[in-house]
Amino acid sequence: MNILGISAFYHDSAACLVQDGKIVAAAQEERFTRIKHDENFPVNAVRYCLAEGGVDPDGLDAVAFYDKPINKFVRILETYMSIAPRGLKPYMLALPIWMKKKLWIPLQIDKSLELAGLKMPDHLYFPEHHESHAASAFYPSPFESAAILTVDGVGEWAASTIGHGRGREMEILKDLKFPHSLGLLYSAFTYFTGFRVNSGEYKLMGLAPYGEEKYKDLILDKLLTIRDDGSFRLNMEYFAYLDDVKMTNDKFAELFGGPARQAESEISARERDIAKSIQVVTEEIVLKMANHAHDLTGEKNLCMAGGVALNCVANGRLLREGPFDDIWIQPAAGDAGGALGAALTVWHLVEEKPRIVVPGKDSMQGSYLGPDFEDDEIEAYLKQNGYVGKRVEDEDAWAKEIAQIMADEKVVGLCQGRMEFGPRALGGRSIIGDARSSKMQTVMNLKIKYRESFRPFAPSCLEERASDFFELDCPSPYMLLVAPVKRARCKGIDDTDSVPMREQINQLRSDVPAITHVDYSARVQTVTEESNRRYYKIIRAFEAETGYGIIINTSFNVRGEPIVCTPEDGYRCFMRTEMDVLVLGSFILRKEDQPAWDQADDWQQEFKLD
Amino acid sequence: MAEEIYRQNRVSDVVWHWQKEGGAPTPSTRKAEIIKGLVGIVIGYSIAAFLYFKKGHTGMPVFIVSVSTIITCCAFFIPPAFHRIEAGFNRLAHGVGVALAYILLVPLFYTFFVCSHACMAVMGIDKLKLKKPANEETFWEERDPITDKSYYRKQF
Amino acid sequence: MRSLKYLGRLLKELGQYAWQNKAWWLIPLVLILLAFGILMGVTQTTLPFIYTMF
Repeated sequence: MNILGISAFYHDSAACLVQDGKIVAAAQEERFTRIKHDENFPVNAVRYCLAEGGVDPDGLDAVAFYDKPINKFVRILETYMSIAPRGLKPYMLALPIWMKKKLWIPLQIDKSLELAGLKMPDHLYFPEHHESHAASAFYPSPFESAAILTVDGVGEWAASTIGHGRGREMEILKDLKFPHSLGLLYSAFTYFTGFRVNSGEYKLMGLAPYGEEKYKDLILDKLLTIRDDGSFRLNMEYFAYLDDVKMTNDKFAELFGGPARQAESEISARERDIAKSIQVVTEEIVLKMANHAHDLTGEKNLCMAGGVALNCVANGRLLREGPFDDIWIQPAAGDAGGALGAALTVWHLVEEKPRIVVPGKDSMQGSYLGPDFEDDEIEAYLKQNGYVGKRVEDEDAWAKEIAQIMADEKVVGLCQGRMEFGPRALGGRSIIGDARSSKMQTVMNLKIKYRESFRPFAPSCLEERASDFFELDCPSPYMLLVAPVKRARCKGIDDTDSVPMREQINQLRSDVPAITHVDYSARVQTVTEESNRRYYKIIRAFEAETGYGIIINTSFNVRGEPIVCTPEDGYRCFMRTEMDVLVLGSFILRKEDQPAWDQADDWQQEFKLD
Repeated sequence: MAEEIYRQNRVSDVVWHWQKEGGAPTPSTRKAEIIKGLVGIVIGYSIAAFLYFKKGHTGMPVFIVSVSTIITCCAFFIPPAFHRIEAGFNRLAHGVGVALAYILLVPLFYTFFVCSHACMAVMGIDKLKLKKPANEETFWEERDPITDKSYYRKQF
Repeated sequence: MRSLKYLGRLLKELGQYAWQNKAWWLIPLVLILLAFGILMGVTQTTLPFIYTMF
């Protein structure tokens, strides 16, 4: 049975194909259209998934859309009814789009399937938004039963839910409704600190360790009322997302001593302290919610999804301080993952098909669910364009050569195997480098990624070596947990407070400085041979070369650009930046061997800064 | 010896268009353009005929026939020119659409939504829970379990 | 034809929603919005042929 899952129209639209319960393909539309967080109907992602699954023209059995459009529409109308005569601006922006597109989901699905040469199936399903998130967290998890926590901006009405999963059964027990949303609260601070909502949340999280929690009490006192079970109400007098097209209002600015920071302007101590304060408040709410989920379900495992589940600092703290033995987080925790959850809901809850759990092993296949490209095709492409690359068929020799390049402090763009599903690059479409290098963070940020220099890089580490580097006693295959760097490896840990931010960035904090954040933590990806053989071999070869089974891993893109998908995207990004070497499948391409790049393109104009 | 042309597999053919120069227009796009051109000429000629035969005008029918013919010829033979003409009309259509949206939706907002707000205020309905919380022990709301599978078929 | 099929489905489901949730206000509002939508849609689709009206 072929079930197509779709998420669309908010941010990060995506498609996913589930064949007889197995996740066969999943991808975000942005990777194909090259528009970051593309929210349009995922026509290209749908076509990809159906091609990957080899689905015949009349072979699609069901389509599942990740939310209930009518409920969402009614929520929007009731919001305007609650706030009128305020709110004309968002009303004028929202209603025409609803009338034109968002109320016509079945028609859009029909049209996109026609474009892909497929017949519209008779069965069309609409699981609820947070149910899709919950399903994406629980069904692929390695747990037979678990508590489920979903936290994001908003779905239909719900903004956070607690659920319970057992076998193939799953049930949402409680929810917190719009506008009282943790996701929107975090986004409000993202906006106020001058970053883009729905994409700058990572930056706010990355900025937090540079500040102090000076505004925590103010936030707790003025902006929200929290109960011990993690439920809360926002004081909407300070927020503008109901009646305007921005997140916070003048009263909010007054509370924090001045207007919101302008994008791209200097980051001051105020923004750093605000970032730290809201991060701590978020962590505390998530911890309380998790405690409540534990009390309600009595489970020892927790599954999480929703945009807030991508807050890996909160996740790390939850793992260390929370009541659960183990946590599993859907790697595509944002709205893209809703496509997957919707399809799995249909398989398990509508079709009532059993769920097979392999203890200790999830069914996400490392989240490598996107397209792969054959070496012969890459060769033909390189030849056609006159690009120069060396084909290294033997995997060990290939890995060794890449490891040697990295050990020389060179930066490598890696485009091999299937593309990742979700916001993290996990070795399929990554930029990699030497974690021991003291200059790597600055070089990669300023010369390769063209992004803010304070932003940290994450490590990919052999799973068996993770405990040598980090205070981490469980795998973190999806880079969704932040863990402290082993204290014995840290340098100058006691005297950071007195150092200004700019100097803190360049401070040598450990023997793996490029991946050690200013608070001596790292967002870890553990790699096994089983999850990604070729990537594992690169890190192992690097260990053989240097004694360190750990490398830097950042997504293969420049600022504002979606992660690369095809070898052509990879080559373009390689030539536009100061990257030294590009790996396309079995091919290794050195910058100095390439013909002059005569494409007069400017990525800063092509991609809107995030 | 002729170079062997690489044949893309089914997946690659869908996602990577390196063999198709500049993403050439698909047959369906071309077809749509030709249909648009034909519709334009049919409408144009009909109106011109009406003006000429029924109203006795001469200048305007000639102008309409000329413009319709040029645009249709562009649709058939000079696609780039047709794209420009089409883009111009689309911009115009968008502008008119926005203006129309304001003309229709603003009065609706100030009648229906403002009145609804007044009614809700009178009836004490606080759908968004905007009032300051009292002494509720919790803000979590219980959910009813889903017992009917037809729930998943509905858009609500 | 296809659009009409899905319009019918949408109206039916909106009606069911209004009935189930006693949200009667939804029916006139949706009918007005759909009428506006159709008017805007028709205007925007016919505009490219406006030159024929010169």
